[in-house]
Amino acid sequence: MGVLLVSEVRRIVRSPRFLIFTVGFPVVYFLIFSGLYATGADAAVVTVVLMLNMAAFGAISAAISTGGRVAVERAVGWNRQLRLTPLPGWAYLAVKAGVAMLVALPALVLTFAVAGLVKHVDLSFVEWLRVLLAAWLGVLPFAAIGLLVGTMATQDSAQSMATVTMLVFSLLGGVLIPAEVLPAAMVTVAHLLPSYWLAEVARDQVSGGGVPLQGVAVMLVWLVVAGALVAVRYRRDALRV
Amino acid sequence: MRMTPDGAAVRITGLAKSYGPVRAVDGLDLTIAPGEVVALLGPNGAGKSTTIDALLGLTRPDAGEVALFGRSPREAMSRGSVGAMLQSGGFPDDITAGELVRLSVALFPDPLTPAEVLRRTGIADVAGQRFGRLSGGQKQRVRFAVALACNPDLLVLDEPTVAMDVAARREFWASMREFTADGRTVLFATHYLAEAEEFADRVVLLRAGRVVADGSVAQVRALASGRVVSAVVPGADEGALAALPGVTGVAAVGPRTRLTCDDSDAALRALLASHPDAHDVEVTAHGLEDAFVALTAESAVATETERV
Repeated sequence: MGVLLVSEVRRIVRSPRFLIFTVGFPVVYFLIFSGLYATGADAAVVTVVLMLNMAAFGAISAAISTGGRVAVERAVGWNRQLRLTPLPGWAYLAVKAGVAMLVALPALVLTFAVAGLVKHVDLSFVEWLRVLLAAWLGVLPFAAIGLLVGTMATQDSAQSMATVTMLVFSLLGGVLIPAEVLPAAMVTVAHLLPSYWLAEVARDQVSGGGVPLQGVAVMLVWLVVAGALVAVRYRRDALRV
Repeated sequence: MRMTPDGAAVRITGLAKSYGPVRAVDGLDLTIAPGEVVALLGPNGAGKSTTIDALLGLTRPDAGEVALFGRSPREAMSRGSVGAMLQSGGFPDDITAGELVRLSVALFPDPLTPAEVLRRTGIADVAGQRFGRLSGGQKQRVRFAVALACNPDLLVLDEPTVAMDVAARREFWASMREFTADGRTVLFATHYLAEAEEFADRVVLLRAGRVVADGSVAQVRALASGRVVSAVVPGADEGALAALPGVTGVAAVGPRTRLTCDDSDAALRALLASHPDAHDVEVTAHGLEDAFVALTAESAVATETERV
């Protein structure tokens, strides 16, 4: 499994698109938005919020687009090929989820690094660590959601399905637009999405707010439901041929 | 060679698989002993791919049993006893040939070394290239490399030399000979009858999901009995030629006339007597291709297996 994981990561890092979209975009967005909005008395707070939201955006898109690649691999017959090896089906999916988690890390780390070095976000080492860990664990539901996209989409629709999924979660979850400016009904929706809680739980690590149970529950439900659907889809896929 | 509880490398009994109303495989039995090199032949839709899929545990048969070295396909696969090269099996375009080989080697319990795999399949020079950028023939060799990585006792190949040019095909079969020299088993499906003729110890002919002929190349070839008399016959009249003794069929092939005969001696005497100016005469035995056409034609009696 380790060798498969390494080869998967190497393949992704080799594609320039990955670097531009999942690492470049969040950093650039953060710099632009913090330049525009982080002014006045609450500049420091706004900068932290923007840092977390943009990092979350990058991590979500990295995780979902990684899962979406499964659709292409299904189309070319890579899964079929792997079924000729001792590797069980669940291990393939586990490796894919692991890859999604790994490629989400650079978006988080780089956005944090730029925020700290360029925008002088001043957190203690422990705070940085807690923020990073909280945000990273928050990516888990999206690793599963990405796999679901990958097991449902066709080769042709995978790219657009992944983009739409990522945008829906980012917009409705208040990652691209702050949830505070949304109408009340939309806030209710946001509170049911793992994208909202990804950024929120991370933010609580800065403001010393602990870990909100509602957030953990929402993220767990998404993780379990999406994971179960992936298993069902994958089994059906394997039996069909 | 690993010990095999029932002695057979492949044992398929009563295999049946339907896709909707289509019976792809219809009660197929096949036993292959260790060390045999067997060609699986048949027209498109004869059930070759379905048989191979069932053999590898990629499809669940409606009925019947498949055992590889006395084990289930999945179990044999996990032990690395079986290497397969599929037409439908694909690799992502962005993985390099070398990565594929290293990955394949790493997944199995008792593999060859990556260097050995690269050498045997002649892809060392393209190891750093991405799969998507290789030529059709190179891709086939990479598929072969992946099949070989587990150091299998049984190799299953579906159309292995498709997309290869003549030289590549020769090299491929040369490396295959190296593989079978130490008594390993090979089952390959092919459209190139010449390959079956040249490389297989045994030919299994499928039609409509059943085995219609099974034997050595010579035996199967002999099933389309008789010989072909071919000559340039000025003023040839098909009706008159067909009426000659010993002739069962007449066909014009370019300037030549081809007489299919059940008694070529009688046919030849009669031909020369009735057409004294017939020249460039050749008498040949049927090839595997003639047997193939005769045995798999729509009109052929499919219910009776030719036991040879």
